[in-house]
Amino acid sequence: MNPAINNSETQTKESQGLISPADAIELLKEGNERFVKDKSLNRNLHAQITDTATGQYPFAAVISCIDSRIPTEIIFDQGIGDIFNARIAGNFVNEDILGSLEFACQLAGSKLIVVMGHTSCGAVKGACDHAQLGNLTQMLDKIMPAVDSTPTKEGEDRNSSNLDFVNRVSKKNVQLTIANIKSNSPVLNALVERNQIGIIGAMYDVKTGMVEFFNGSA
Amino acid sequence: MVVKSINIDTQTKATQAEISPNLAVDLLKEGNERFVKNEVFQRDLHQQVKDTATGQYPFASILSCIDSRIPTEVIFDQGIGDIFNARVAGNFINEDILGSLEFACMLAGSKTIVVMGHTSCGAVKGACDKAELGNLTQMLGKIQPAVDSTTTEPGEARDSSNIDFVNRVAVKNVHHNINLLRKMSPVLKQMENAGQISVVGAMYDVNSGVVEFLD
Repeated sequence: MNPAINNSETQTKESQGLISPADAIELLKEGNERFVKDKSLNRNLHAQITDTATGQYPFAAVISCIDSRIPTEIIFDQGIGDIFNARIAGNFVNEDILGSLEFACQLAGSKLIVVMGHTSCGAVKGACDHAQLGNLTQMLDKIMPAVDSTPTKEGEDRNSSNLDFVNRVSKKNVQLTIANIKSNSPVLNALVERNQIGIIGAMYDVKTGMVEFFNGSA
Repeated sequence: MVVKSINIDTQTKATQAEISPNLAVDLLKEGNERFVKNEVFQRDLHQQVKDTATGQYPFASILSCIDSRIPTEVIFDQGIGDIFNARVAGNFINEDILGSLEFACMLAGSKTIVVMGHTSCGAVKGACDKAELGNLTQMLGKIQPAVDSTTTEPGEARDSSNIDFVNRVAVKNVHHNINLLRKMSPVLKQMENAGQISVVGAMYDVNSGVVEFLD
């Protein structure tokens, strides 16, 4: 990584320009390691508010779940102005999340999209159990392709009583979401093909606070 | 002080049950005050990770923008397990956000929904300028009702060059989406009518870090 890249300082147009998609992954990995080791940076958040009052130059955009156990900026040890964050129960994409990501990458210069699922996800459990309630019913339908395409051994439960199944579905859901981003957003797909951005999957473990990045970014 | 102890420790089923919809809003107000005064709680986040490994009992749900300047838990000084957070550029609702909020309130017991806009919002600016790009075009269409219903003085610009207009549209957008939420989610509307949850609007100021709760 370019030694000029410093994650403890507020991102500027110049610093954002120095960061490659691979660097962006590295910065988030390092940030989560700091969080796990209880060695988070001591940023001056009030100076960062002043620094960003007239503009933002975030290096990454994370799509994650609404789950209260995963405050994205905290678990990646990022400050003010570092990362965009779209959040929806079950971390899938719809037109509005895609629009948000297009804004983040095409218009605001982010270098990386991270699709992050997590263990023990309530939305994924709901989808596994075919839960039905108001607007939730159609929302959970969007997670069904991941449920349906996750294999089980003979006699293995395919509902939320089987936490291992739930977590495998979450991982599958991340992979399918990445595929959906590429097929439903020509804008983002073009950025990927020109290597201007990367897209990578990840899973957060609610027991340990650790983020595991999937092998290979798109 | 009761309020402090209830918000510094990890939420449990019992603490969540003690928090009323009004208290939930007060806890967020106090948290933002601590953030602004640089007097945030020193929580043991690793203990909170352990405490919440098998369940979560958050007292509030926030709908806010993807903007990188507004890390929700940080600006409200909340720890792990305290608040749900749904985020989309322009903090409006759609079926999936409503489903998320129904999960948060009906199934997971949170006591308030805060729809929070912010000053200098890029999505609102895009809607004011009628920007068009890929999926963004239809997304900005959802902010358009707030643009159209925000009045201007004769001769006043109605685009992103007029930041005061942009910020008025952002406030309007919050009110508009609270109305939509009540209309499109019978589940949440019923909980509000029964006094089980409150639904409030708020604006975050990117110049000061201050959250102003709307009437």
